[in-house]
Amino acid sequence: MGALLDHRAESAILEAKELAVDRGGVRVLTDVDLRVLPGQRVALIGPSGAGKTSLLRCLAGLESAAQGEVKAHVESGTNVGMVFQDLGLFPHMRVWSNVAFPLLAKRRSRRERKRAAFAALRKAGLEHLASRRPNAISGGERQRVALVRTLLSDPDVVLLDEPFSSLDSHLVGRFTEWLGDLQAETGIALVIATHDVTFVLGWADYIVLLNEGTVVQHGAPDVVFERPRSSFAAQFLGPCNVMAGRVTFRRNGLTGKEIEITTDLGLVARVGSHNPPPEELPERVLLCIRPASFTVCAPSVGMDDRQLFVVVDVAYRGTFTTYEIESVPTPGFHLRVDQPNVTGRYSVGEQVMLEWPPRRLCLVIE
Amino acid sequence: MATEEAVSRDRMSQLRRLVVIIPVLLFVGVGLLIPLSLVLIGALEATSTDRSAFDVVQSPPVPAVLGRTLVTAALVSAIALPLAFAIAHALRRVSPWVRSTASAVFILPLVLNLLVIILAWLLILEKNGLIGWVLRATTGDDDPPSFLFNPIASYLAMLYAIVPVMVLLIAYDLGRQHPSTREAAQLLGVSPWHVLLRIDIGQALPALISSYAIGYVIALNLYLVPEFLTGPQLTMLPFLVQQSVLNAFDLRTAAAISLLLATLSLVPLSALVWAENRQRS
Repeated sequence: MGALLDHRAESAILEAKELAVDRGGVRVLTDVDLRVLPGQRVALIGPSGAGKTSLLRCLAGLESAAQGEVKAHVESGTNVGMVFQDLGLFPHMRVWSNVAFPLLAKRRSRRERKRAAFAALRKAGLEHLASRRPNAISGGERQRVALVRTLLSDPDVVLLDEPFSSLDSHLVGRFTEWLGDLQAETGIALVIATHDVTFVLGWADYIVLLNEGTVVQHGAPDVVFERPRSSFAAQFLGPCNVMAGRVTFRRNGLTGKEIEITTDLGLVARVGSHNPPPEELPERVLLCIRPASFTVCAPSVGMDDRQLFVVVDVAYRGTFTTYEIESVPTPGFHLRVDQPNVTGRYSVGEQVMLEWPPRRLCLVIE
Repeated sequence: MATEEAVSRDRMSQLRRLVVIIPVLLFVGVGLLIPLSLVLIGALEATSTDRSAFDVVQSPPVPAVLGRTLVTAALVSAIALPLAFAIAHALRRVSPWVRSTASAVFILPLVLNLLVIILAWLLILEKNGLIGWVLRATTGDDDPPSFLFNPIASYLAMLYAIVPVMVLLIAYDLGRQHPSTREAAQLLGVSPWHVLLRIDIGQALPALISSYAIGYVIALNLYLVPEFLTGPQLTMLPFLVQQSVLNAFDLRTAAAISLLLATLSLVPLSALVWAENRQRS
């Protein structure tokens, strides 16, 4: 059964249902459902080989499905555009000819095509490149030219395959800003396949996490980030401490769910109500904690020794510091902790203790 | 300081390149251009027939044969080009196994002696050959027409020799084109005709021009084909060159005819390449 990715009542302009794709006799996508709504920003994320590009190609109609189907909204006549990872610019044509290419389909004269291409390039701040060849402009400019060309085909949805793979980090910011302006102006939906998690979390309305051809998790970025359903999801979206443990107390109390986990190292944690109902939890679970979810503090008198750690590595990262700490009673057990620099800093060898806010802890059943 | 070192390094690398190029230039200059110039100068003088080579090339049958030769080479190459492009284009979409096998088949005519190819076409086209046998079997006509000794017989054999070379050249170029350009064009909503014309052919244009030029040059040197398959009505100029040397050992006339042919061939081909380069720059 595929994962239905968006239940909103609004009608999807592009939809994939129980999609499966084979390549060279190997199934590269299995049972994928996806709905893209008008003006939505969808991000397909996952490691290399997860099936992101296959899914995009299938949505664009470049690959046929072994099972399931891709439906574009019939009434609105959804037009799907795509910007390829290598952009697919025509090297033998000038920039303006590239941009004007979609207008051939509308049987416009050469003069009209040229005028429209120059107008589109002017709007995008690229008019000065109009007479150059694609190989004579920078990677960022090529990226924008490819997108302007796609927009001239009047798409309702634009699929972008790894749009930042050839861009420097400072260009990524400028490109996404420009992309946002374009989207606000045109109202098109964007579907981006990328492995750039940092970008996705700040940009997307909806993310779909793929691994080995299947949808691992989907939802709003904050939900997927803070409530991962698997250790893969937890660790793909950013650094995460994963500890095995067992449920030592569970109750649906008057004040909500009460769950207590004792890790295999003897650490006891109470987890928040966002986790599965206590009765659905198996005895063994995984406890996921983001490095920034801990609070490091100096050891207090009479504290439980099992909470005692020693700092083994310190990495300054500007607004915060990353500490690698090792359990004192269980040498060899390490945790990563990110602390804002405003709270004071610790040195290697210093002993610390951790506070675990229950609402920031997440249980994963595997 | 760093700039001076960079300039020095640049000069050294230029010098190294010249060390490679100069011997080649000397070899070509001394070994070819100088003797060629001497032959050409000699061709201006009167030959054993009391006519200068320039007189010879202006007198019958040279002008007529020259025109026929240029037209034949240009026509055969022009027919071969779309055929070769279509085959190379189709090869791009088949499995690697089929592509390798087809490439091996295309290389076969290149390693065969031209006389063997001519013999094969004689066996196909003669009255009692393959086509004649098929016609007898299908129509019951005991005296089918001969397909030999007309220009089409020569064109067929020449195509057989030219098309494989062109296919290999064009297929190599098409293989270098990224498939995403074609897919991008398709997704931009244009017709398959536009994709073929503006993307496939547009990108392959330099390779098409090179293939045409190479096909043309090969066709010029296939002068034995018309001699065997068509006869005097399609005699090509290189055959006259050969006759000048073999019958009269008139090297000067042969050189003059040859240079005339080379000049008349190279001028339009160079213009074609120049126009293409200019359009691309």
